[in-house]
Order: sequence, then structure tokens, then C-alpha cells
Amino acid sequence: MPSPQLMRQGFNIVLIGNFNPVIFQPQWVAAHGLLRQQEADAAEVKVIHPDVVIFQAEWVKFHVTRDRFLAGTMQEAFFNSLADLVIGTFQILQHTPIRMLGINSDFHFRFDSEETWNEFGDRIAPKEMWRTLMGKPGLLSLEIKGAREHSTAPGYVRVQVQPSAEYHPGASINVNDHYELPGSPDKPIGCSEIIKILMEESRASREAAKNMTQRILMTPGEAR
Amino acid sequence: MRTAAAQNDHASLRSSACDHEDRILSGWGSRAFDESLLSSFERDVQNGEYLSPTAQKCETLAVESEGRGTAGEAAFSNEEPLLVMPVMPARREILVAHQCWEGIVASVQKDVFSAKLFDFNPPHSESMAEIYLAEIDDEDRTLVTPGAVFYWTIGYQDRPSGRQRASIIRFRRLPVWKASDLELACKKADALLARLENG
Repeated sequence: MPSPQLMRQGFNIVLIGNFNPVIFQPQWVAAHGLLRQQEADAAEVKVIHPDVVIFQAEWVKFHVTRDRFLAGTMQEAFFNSLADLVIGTFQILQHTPIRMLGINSDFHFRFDSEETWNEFGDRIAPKEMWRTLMGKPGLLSLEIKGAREHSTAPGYVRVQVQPSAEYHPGASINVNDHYELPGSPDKPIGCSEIIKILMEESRASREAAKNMTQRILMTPGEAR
Repeated sequence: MRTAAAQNDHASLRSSACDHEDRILSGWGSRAFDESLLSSFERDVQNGEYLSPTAQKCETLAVESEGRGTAGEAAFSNEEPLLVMPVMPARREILVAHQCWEGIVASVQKDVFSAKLFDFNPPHSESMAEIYLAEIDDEDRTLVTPGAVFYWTIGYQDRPSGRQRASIIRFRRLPVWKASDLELACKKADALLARLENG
């Protein structure tokens, strides 16, 4: 049976803390040398408001509210640059209180037929029990949380599998690698610790997410 | 009074935009996250109903019980789906990477620079390469100095006109130290040295 084809990957970094959204503008990022000036000039700014800033440059999007910072890309060639961009940003804003980090990878696959697509759905969420409760049961979303294997840093990993909204018949797998400073909710004192985790873990996290995804897609005969 | 559909839409926008922190950390999942938040924001501002994220979060707790299912979602099933969501074509040109390296500039000559390359893929081999400076975007030329780190990706892009091979070299960009920053650091170092010397 042919393996599902990887159609695209996404990578985003989410930080939870206290932010001043209006700082995060394309020209500010370029002024600090973190983005090319041409990229900043061409960026599409959707909202700049004291409570929310959203803009999209060629390969990266920013989405910042008062308690959440997200930077993401769908271009694999820029995954490392994205991590550098976030690290650089918070090396400048080193006093920003941040207590949680999410290193998130998502993968969209296309199956060769609806049959293999449904076989995959049935394998990860068997329907026997559900058929006794309802007609035509179908999997919309499956979410599993557990301890991460690639690192001992505090936190957990959560995987979500759902039908792809972009490719049919397809599936998307999102891996949320969550890091949390111990005892941090009350006393976030800056972001150096969280950014250190990002520097140390981002590449390993992506690698682990890729491996996990491949294992999820393996048919039973291929399993290790 | 809102219709049931509008109510459901409102609930799902609210919950996707400002859910529990655990859920927020998982990122967008799809670009629908931004667009739903943006349209929600624009509508709320027009209606004079805009709430700060903190207030929204409180409200989320109230609306979560309204449910988040939406009609038209595709599902894995052995049966024919009741409704099939239209398949949206990818909006951006996505580069599918075949090979990625991290490079460190070793030396820079007139037209080329030499670099040590580390393969991201197993077995993570190392090699040396000479790369034409013409490959580097004008704005990045100043970054090409010995010791500089860059990422080199080779892959392809699918376009309506056909598949095209692509090569992207991106230099690492980290905060720029300004003269005033260096001056301040020197002053701090001098002060520290003076304290150490004075016991």
C-alpha cells in the first residue's frame, strides 16, 4: 500500500506571557535586523491595535495579543529562520515575562484513495463501539497527550489528528510540544529561561514531531 | 436576537480565539485561526462589542458549553459522509525541501565564499562548498562574513506552470549590536573592573 504523501508542513512558536502587541510591527523587526527591510516593506499588516497585532510577511506571520505571541511559517526552508527570529526578538525584549512555550509542527498528508484514508481513520480510532451508539460514525478529531521522549524539559507533548482541511482525502497531524517553567504562573521574571529552552529544543522538537508523525502513519505491518 | 447558526459561529470563533491556555499553545492548526479571530475582531469593533483578551477568556468559559461542531467537516468514515467540505487549494507556493544544510562561512573571496556544510538529514555528514556570492540576495551580502551561519534548502515548488527547482540560502539574523549598546556594555564592564580592583 503506498504511503500517504506529505503535501506540506507548518511550524509555529507560541509563547504565553505578558506582551505589548503594538511593539511587534514589521518595521520594528526589520530595524533590529531580524527581517530583511524588503520583507518588512512588503508585509501585509492586518491589524495594529493595542490589544492585537497581526501581520504577514513573505514567509512568516505574527499574531500577538496581550497574553499570547505566535510566529509561524508554512515554508520548510524557513523553519530555522523562524526560531532565530523569535529568539532574536526576545533577546531584545529580554524582560518580557513569559511562562510557557509551544513548539508546534503540523503536517498535511494526502492519501491515494478514500479507502486508505478511511482505513487510517479506523485504525487510530476504531468504530466498533461507536456503531452501537450511532449511525455512520466518523472521526473529526483525535487528541492524545503524553510525556515527551526527546527531552526531560518540563511539559508534555500533545498530538492531534484530523481530516485535512486542505487536501482530500487527507489528514493533518499537529504536534504541540509544550514547555512550562516550574512554578512559573505566579512569578514570571523575564524570558531568558524560556528562550534558552527554545534555543536548545526547537530543532530536536521538530525532528521528534516528524518521527512521531511517520510512526502514526505506519500501517501495522510497518510498525517497529 | 442571534440566530442559532450565528450563535454557534460566535461560540466557535470565541473558543478558537481565546480558549484555555493549553489549547492556545497549540498554535493555529490552520490559517482559519487568524482569519476567524480577525473577522471576529473587525465585527466586534463595528458592533462596539470588542472585549480585551482577558475579558474574552472569561466569556469563553461561558460559551464553551455551547458546542463547537460545525456542519460540513470532513470525517474519516467507512460510510458516505453526509456533507463534504469543499477542498480548498493551497493559496501559497510551498517549497518542498529535499535537502537542507546548515552552513558556516569559512572565508570570503571576491566572487565566492567557502563554507562548511552540515547536513540536517541522517547521517548528518559534513562537507565543504564554494558558493557564488551572486546566489545571495543583495540585502544579505553584508552578512556574508567568516563565522556567519546560514541555512541552505534545495527543493521544488509546484506552480501552475509546472514544477520548478528552487534553492534558498538564508543567513541567520540575530539582534544587531548598536554603537550605543556597545558603549553601554563597555561602561558596565569598566565599572565592574573598577569594583573588582578596589576590592
